Amino acid sequence: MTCNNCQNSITQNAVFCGKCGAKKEDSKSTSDYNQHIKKIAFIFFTLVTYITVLNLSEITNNKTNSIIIDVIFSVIVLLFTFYDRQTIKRILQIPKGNKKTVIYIVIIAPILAFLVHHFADLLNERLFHQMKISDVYQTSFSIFDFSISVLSIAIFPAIFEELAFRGVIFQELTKITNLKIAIIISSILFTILHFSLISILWIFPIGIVLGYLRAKYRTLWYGVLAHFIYNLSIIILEKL
Amino acid sequence: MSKKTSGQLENERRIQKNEIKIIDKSTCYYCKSTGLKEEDKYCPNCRFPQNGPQIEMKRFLINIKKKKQLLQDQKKAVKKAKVILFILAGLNFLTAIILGIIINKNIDLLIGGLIGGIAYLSLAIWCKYKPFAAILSGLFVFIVFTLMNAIVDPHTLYQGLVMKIIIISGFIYGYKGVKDSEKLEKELIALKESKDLEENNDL
Repeated sequence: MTCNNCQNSITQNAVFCGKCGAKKEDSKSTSDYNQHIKKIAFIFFTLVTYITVLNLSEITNNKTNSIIIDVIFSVIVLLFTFYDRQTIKRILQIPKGNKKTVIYIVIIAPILAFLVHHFADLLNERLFHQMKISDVYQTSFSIFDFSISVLSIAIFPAIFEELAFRGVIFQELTKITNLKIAIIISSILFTILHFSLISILWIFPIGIVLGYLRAKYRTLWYGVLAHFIYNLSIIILEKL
Repeated sequence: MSKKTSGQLENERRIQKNEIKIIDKSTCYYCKSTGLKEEDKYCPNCRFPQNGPQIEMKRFLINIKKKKQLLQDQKKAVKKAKVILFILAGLNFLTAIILGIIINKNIDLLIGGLIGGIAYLSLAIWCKYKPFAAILSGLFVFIVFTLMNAIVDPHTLYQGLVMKIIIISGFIYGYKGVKDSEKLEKELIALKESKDLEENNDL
């Protein structure tokens, strides 16, 4: 091996060139670290800014508006995904027949939704003396309204929140830290983006479970499925 | 030949006393790595100027001292960020007790303060084990909590603005401290680790 600076021959376990003192070429760039953090912060705060602006602009919470809001959110997430498409492509592949996991998800997600729904209702009734968790989950009984609710509460968040938090952000986090920490940080970000203090109690553990699914199976689809079934169950429980 | 004054002799003695004497040229004076070649000006393991002038050797040792001092400063910045997390937890608990129980008797404020307090307290405790993750999360949580308050009452965004800037700066310095101190610590440990440089000769 030769020094890049003075062409002097250097031993394998040397760190510096003995002749000129130049450091041996290191493959890992220190600026990469900052780049990943900046990217995570940029993605997260773009979404936070969007939600803050929505909340401050007093847009009426009707069905059409909620679909428009979701579409804009999805476009933002898709733009970030497109920018990172090479790495995201791998986790977007459909997992090969792990029926056991799918069955577990289909059984556990509605049970979890049932428990969270009753816990939240209990908190609302006992502590806040209200009947509903929030207006978001209030749905009427027409098929059209139900479909809009499913689209806005179950389908859009399941796909695009997973793509943002367990996709782009998680992927960036794994480049600078280990899987465990990536799961925790992505869950914290996922929790606080919901802008609700009380729901930290259940969104954070759910985020950990979704992060675990993403890390264990190296695919986004189990998380999407679990998220979809959980949110769908919440809608159905609200209507019952 | 002119006789040297006692002052000159004292000066010479002092210089000789502080002089770095290399006894074995094949062993690095700083990291004790063995197998250094005769023609090597620098130690290939730690870059100590083994065959360089005295001033360069001393400069190297001063630089190491400076780096150790810098490491201490960076660790202090991490500690400060941890203290900020504890303070935020305390403030949230206080708000919950004072506004939620004593003055307003408002359950929303009580629950909100308690949850916020627990969140910051957990991050402060986590900071002991994983400072990078805890400080980064703390920064994000603080910004989002501030925005959540601003949504309820936009005036809160400007209230205590200087304090908010200090807290955010504290987190940023803490985060930078973690990152830089980890790197510097590794570098200093690697410099002190002696190696046998004769092994695996020229490839």
